[in-house]
Amino acid sequence: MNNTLEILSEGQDPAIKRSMSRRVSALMASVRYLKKQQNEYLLFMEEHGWDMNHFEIVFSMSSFYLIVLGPLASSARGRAGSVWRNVPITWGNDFQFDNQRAQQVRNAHQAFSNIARRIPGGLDTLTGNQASDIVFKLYRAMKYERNY
Amino acid sequence: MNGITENWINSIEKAIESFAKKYSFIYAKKERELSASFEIGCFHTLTDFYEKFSKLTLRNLIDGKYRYLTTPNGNPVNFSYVEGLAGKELFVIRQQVRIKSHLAEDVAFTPDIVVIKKNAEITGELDPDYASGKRKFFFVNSSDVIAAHECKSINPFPELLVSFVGMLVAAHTWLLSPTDRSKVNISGIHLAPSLFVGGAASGIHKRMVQSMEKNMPINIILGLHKGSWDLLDSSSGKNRIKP
Repeated sequence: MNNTLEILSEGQDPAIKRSMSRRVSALMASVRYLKKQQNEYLLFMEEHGWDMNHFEIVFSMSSFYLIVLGPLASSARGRAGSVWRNVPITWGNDFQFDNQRAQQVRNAHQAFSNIARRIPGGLDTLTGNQASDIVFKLYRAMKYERNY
Repeated sequence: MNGITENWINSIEKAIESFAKKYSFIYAKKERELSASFEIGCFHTLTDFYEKFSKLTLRNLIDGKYRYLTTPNGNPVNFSYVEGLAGKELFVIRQQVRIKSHLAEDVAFTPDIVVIKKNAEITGELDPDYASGKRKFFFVNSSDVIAAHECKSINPFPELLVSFVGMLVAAHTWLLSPTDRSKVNISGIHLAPSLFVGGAASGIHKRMVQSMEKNMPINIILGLHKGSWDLLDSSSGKNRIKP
């Protein structure tokens, strides 16, 4: 397991850990295939110094975002202007979704988004479905966006 | 690896490490809590949609809190729900209410969120084949269903999209065939039966979604993890219905 994935999956439910790990492995297998196929976008990234370590970091962050942080952030949007204002939701005896929790998740989301900005294409790249989508988004940002 | 990219790796890894130190207590959750979060996000999105056209009221709050029904085993009467009024039409939004289908006897299933008529009866029956006849089997009839919605916090794939058609057919008596769009109406107050999906699609899958939305009275709402939560965005072109 690579360092980024290891850090992000520490303390996670074993089922979630497995899902994250499986997704990263599948994406890595696809990117190796793209390399074999001499995929032009992948070649472009390699010409700009990217290797498998870079992709593994991006895929680890993508898996974390899609499996963990994205779903959590779904329930943490501001509710001030709606019928839900100051009404917590209780889910069985286990969880409560309230303003405090929402604020904490929003802070985490913001912090992660800031890190994601260092990746060409930012969060949009991380939400790509398949390795080829992600590689294309990296290429597009790298080629056409000034920051990279 | 050149120096610049090596620095990039180091800086990202450091940032991730400090992110994890600060926030892991927030995000290290049980799988069940993650799927609950996504479902609540979809539920909020749906009520946001309805709030634009209707007056919504939260009913049956317990100590000021909305008690979310999390499985079809619970008696819906003991849980909170949302009541809506649009013009003279009253409707109710609930979670995890089982639907008994008009298609055939014994066909019953539970969508994540269901919009039903206000006067819909939620029936509870003892059945020896369910919980050994010790707990009631609760359901509404599909004739009372306005729209059944499903939430999937995963990336979309063709089999997932197509399986939603099965739910569409089994849950809605008002539907004559999967491609019956007679109830689709641009000024309808109800969101057409929708599949909410966390992940985004690209290329051919996106075309598949567009084609399904164009030919069936449904929505497949993608990219929710990315933040596509506004169903009334003029560019979203979501199907609305007037059943």
